[in-house]
Amino acid sequence: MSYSQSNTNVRMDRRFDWVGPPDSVSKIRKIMLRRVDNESELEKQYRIAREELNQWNSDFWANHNTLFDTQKIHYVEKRKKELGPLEHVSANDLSDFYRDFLNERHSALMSYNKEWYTRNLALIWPALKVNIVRFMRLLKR
Amino acid sequence: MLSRQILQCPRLGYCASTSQAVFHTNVQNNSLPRVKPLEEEMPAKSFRKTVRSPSDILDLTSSSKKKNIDIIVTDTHLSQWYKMEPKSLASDYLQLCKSKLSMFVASTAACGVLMAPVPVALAPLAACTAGTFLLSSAANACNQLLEAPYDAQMRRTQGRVLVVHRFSPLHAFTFAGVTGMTGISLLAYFGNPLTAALGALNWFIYAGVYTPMKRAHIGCTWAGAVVGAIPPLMGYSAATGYLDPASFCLAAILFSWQFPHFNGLSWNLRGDYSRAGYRVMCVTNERLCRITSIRHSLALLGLCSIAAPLTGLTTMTFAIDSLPVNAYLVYLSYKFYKAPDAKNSRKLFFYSLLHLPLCMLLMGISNYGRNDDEKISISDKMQNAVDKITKYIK
Repeated sequence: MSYSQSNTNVRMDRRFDWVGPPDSVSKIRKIMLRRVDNESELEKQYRIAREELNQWNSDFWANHNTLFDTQKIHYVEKRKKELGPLEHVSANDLSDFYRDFLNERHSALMSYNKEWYTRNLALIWPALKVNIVRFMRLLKR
Repeated sequence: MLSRQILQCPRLGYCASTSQAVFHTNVQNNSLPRVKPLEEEMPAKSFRKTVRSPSDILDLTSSSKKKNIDIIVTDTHLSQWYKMEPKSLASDYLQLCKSKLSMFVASTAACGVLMAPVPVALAPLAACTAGTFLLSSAANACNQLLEAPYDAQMRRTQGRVLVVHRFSPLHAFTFAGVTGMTGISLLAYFGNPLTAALGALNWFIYAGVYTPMKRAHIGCTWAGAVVGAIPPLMGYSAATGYLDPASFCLAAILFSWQFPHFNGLSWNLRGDYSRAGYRVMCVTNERLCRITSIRHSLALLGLCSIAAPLTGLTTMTFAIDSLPVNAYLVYLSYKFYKAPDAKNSRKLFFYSLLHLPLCMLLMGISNYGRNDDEKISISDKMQNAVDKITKYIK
């Protein structure tokens, strides 16, 4: 791996699969799959599909987590106003918030879940084909 | 167990958990003590700064014209990028199969073999334990495969192998297939087809029913409890070849145990579960969460002290010496019911981890049915027990 310690853009070896740090909002790690020079159309589509699935996951969770955090802040502020200066927000109030948030996001989460399952499982078969192609290539050498 | 609950609680039905009939928490919340939430649940003060700095954005424009083999990534995060490969295949596989949990499940299956009223043979015992371990690994690998983005959201699970992309999904899928098939064949060959069928059913329920249901419906905990109850049935049928009321009593003990165990565990993680979209009891209906813990602890008391000797699973000794063990569980569940906070839930969870092995040990030493001279009628057994107690009192 060739990299420098300077504060500029650096190069990472494209011959390997890379995994990045978790995104601060969506908590999903970015991935970069390896490419060979003479990669076939099949391999390219698989690589792009997998990277895209990961990115789509990251976008969904970034949106969802921001919603959670902002709604929690609003809820806590609202409760604080209702309770007055002497009392503090209790765990039961937060329980109400957790429940309401989940119910609100139910349909969005269900459609996300369905799409995630179908896309993830649909990638297994192309992954198998790509691995066979790579294995054949290795044998030919 | 489930029908008992439906009879006792007419408000509980399998309607959507948004129905008011199931909740009525407006009334109940006022009677709960006002507990302070956990530190990490309260929103952080410096939340406003979520602007993503430009260095986070990946720059790929320069590589479009030149033919090179490199990807450009900014230096600030370089040390955090690493290659997608397992650090040590063995330890990563153990993590993929959730080895500690699988060993626990395999031990419950071994308990099933040992409680069977037949002489203990080594082949069914070893095959059943190994087969259950392998099937549990397969189920857990499928689970992690399906839940990778959700696991990334929760602190407890964010280090799992598929979240950090140690292997590709195909690798995990193959692992699940290989371990599952090996487990089923071990069970079918050294055990019998019934055991293998139960094993396959359990794999399907865990990966195909419980995992998706966690996101859809509050009944997921019941499905998960069934998954926990099947391994002793597998063990029992591996030894004997059939299932009888004694085996179902053992399975029911494990079914009821799951509730105090899971509710104690999940209470502290409510914030994480809610954000990650899990519809578990502690998030969607916390009153039900507390009530089921205590109901099932009481059920355990009844199962161990009444049903176990009645069905011929154990002798009366178990009925008596399991009383203090179960009574303490009931006490902790009651405390959790009255005052659900971090301390009580943790105590309940950790005690449940001790409670089950202890129960299995006590059951094992009070095993019934293996020796012929033990086979006396129930009224004689009760008479003997009463005589012993009166003799002790005198």
